[in-house]
Amino acid sequence: MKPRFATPWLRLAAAARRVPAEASLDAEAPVGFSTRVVALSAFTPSTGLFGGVAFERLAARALGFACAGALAVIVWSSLPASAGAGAAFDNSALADAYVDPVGSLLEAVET
Amino acid sequence: MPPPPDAESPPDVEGWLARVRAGDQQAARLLVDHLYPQVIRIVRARLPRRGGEEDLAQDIFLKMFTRLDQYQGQVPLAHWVSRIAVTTCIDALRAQRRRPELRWADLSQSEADVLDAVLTRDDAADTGDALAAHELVHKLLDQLAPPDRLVLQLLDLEQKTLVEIRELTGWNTTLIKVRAFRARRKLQKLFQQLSRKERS
Repeated sequence: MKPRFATPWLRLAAAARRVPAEASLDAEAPVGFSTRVVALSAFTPSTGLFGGVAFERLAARALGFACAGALAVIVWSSLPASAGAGAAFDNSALADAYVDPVGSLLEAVET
Repeated sequence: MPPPPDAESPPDVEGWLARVRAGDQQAARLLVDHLYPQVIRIVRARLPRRGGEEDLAQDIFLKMFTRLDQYQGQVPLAHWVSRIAVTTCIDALRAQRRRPELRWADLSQSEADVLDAVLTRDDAADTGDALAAHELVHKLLDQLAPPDRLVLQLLDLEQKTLVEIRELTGWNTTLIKVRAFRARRKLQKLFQQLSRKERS
């Protein structure tokens, strides 16, 4: 009795299954294939098998953070508010108001 | 240097793995040679075009070595590598340019005969040329998205069970069933379009 299938696709798939699998094709690795793969694994920086990858990733990330930090400092120092703060720090009145207890003690000892 | 494996004895995959993790390149080569037949069968079954199958196998092994620290040994290494091979093939299919819409005029005479047979008869034995059916199947599957194509290949052509597909792809059973349902519906529409255009 012939098998019956509900849809054209299932009929077509059943017909296509009659073609033998391609197991007869050569399934052995070509000469030098494994050597090439292992060499690429070992020495390609992006896919290193024998170490170095984690360090490279961390180093790249750290460089990114450092650049972002430097940029933030440059931007902050160029802002008018930070320039004003710098000027306020240089103000001599503030410097005069600054009390130095250790300095005062040393002066008292010397005299 | 470690002695070469005896052809009679079963391969010591666990031992090779331990040595690869310790940086032994000889063990890495043995592992590649051992897994190559399985990987190349997956590549040949998934990719319609014969060109570049060795390059793709190479990519699969490079991924395997890169991710080796993620392999915990919960499943056999062969299953784990098969999953990498399947996902790499899906990525390769995605990267290929989508083929234009399939038309009746694009089919060879024997493919057109097969298509006519499957559209008009309800048994598979009378479809004629099996090779033409095989070619036609791949032309139709080319019209689908790579995951849809894969699920139908595994279910309907290779007749794998849901459990086997789950192990191979990492998809859960519900997802496999839903994908298969949608893919078959898309194919059904494609058959209807072809049939309509052929009649008009």
